Formats: sequence, structure tokens, C-alpha cells
Amino acid sequence: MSSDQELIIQFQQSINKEAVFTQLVQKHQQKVYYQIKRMVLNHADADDIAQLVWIKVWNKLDGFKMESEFSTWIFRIAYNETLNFIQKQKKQGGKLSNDDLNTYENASGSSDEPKSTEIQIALDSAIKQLPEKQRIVFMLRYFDNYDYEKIAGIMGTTVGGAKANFHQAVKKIEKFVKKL
Amino acid sequence: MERESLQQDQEWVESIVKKDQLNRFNLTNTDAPFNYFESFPEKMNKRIQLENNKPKNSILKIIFLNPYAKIAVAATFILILGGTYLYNTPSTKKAVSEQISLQEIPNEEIINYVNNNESIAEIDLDLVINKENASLENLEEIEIQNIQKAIIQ
Repeated sequence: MSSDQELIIQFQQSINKEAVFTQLVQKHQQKVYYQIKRMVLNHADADDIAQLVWIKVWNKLDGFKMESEFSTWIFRIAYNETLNFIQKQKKQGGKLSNDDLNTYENASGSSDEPKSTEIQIALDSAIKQLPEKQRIVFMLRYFDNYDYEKIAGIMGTTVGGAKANFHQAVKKIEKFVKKL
Repeated sequence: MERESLQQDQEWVESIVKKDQLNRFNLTNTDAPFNYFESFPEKMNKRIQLENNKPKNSILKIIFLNPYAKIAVAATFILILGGTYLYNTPSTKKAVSEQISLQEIPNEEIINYVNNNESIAEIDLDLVINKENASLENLEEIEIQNIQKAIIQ
């Protein structure tokens, strides 16, 4: 598969943009979707936001100057779209639909010790209760192994700001889990 | 350096919560319905074709999407409507038409009228009539009193 840079140049010069765009979607769709889903915790919302993100990419890709990595750029669009969505939901007084906590009990099976399920539920709640910025930094850092520079690029913040958010997130999770 | 820092951060998290629990959390929140990613690019292409066929945002649409522009357009409309209504009300029309008719009376006719009415003849109307924007409406109270005195005399 071609690199992002090659695909973007092809897109910007090509008449048949759809074919090149499809390649970009295929290459990045999973990471974009997962980043969104971790924030909204719901497939229907994540799917809607992902579509909005890709439409924005389609509309703006001709003007993309490759000053940053394509993945950073698209994750930043995804991050902003997700924040907009969450803020709209909050204004409308709606709550983000959280997965039923019983999911873990069902998923963990009968062999798991009760204590383990309890911690799992606590962890789930702790991460879900983190402010959006702290939650996304925690996810990107711990699960996606991103460096702070890239995280700062996605969130439009400084490296120091990203580090501070990660530390606050971990402290809050620790406090939450220790309550058990 | 960054690798070490990443490892340190991950170890710190894993000292609080077990790694398998974190992984389970990640798995639960990074799943998607069956065949979702296989069908998504095609769905996106269709959506983009729809977007491309949509008419571009017209100026009117932009105006009506912006709340401040909406207020400005509404205020202008009300001003135009109100102004037109006030200008065309019967009382305004009457006043305007009276003003025009008085202004349109030639001086000669007024002088003839005064000459034919002796009581007013003695008043030096020329001064009043030859004034700028001369009209009966423009007579000041003192002038009216002078006319009254002249009539009595």
C-alpha cells in the first residue's frame, strides 16, 4: 500500500479522487473509529462522527500541505468533531449512553473471581468519568503508545499540557480504584 | 528517551490496575459490528457523492444560518416595512399634500386675495410672503398677533 504522502499527492492531482480517497479510508478508518468510540462509547454515535470526519477530510484534503503527519491531522479532526458532539449532547441535556456495566460480568465469564469483575467495573467507571481531554490522552498514551508530541499535535495543546493531562488521569484512576 | 518515558508511564498505570484488566477495557471499547469496516469505505463514497451533489451554500443560506445575520436582516426588513407604512399613512399624505398646495400658490394670487380683502390689505404681506419657504403655516405667533392688531385697527 502506498504511503500517506503518495496517496495525498495522487488525490490532489487526480481526477478520480474517489479511488484514492477509498484507499486512505481503508488505511485509517479503524484507528479513527476506535479513537472516537473510546470517547463516545457508543457505536451509532461513533459511526456518525466518523462519517463527519471523513467528509471533512474529503473537503479539506486538496488544501492539506503536509506540514504535519496525515494521521495527526485526521486524528485532530476526529478529536475536535468528537468534542463538538459531546458538547452538543451536554447542551441538549442528553447523556452519553454508557455500555451496561454488566457487559464485563458477562464477558469475563464464570471463572473470574468476583473481585476481578469489581475492579474491572471500577476501572471502566473511572475511565468513563475522566474529563474528555484526560480520557483521550490516557487512551492515546497507554493503549496506542503515542508520544506526547503527537498527542499534543492531535489535541492542539503543548507537550507539557498533554503530560499534565495524562498524570491527572492516572491519579484519578488510582484514587477511584483505591476506594474499593 | 521517549521509549523509556512511555514504558515508565505504562508501568505506572499497571502498578495501579492489572494489565489484563486494562486490555479487557480496551477490547470492550474498541469493537465494531461485524463487517463494519468492510462496508464503511463504500458507505463513505456514497455519502461523499451525495455531498458533492448538494448545492453549495448560497449567501442566503449563510445569512440564515448565522444568528446575528438573521437579526440584522429582520431589523432591516422591519425598518423598511415600518418606514413605508408611516410614509404612506393618510395623515402624513394629507400634511404633505397641504404643504405642497400652499407652496404652489403663486405670490400674485395671494396678493390679489389680500387686495380684495380690505381688512388684511394694510398688512405688509410682502415681507411675510417673500420670506424663504413662505407659507401660512410658517407664520410665527408674533406675526399672527400683528395681523390681528392690524385687523382690529
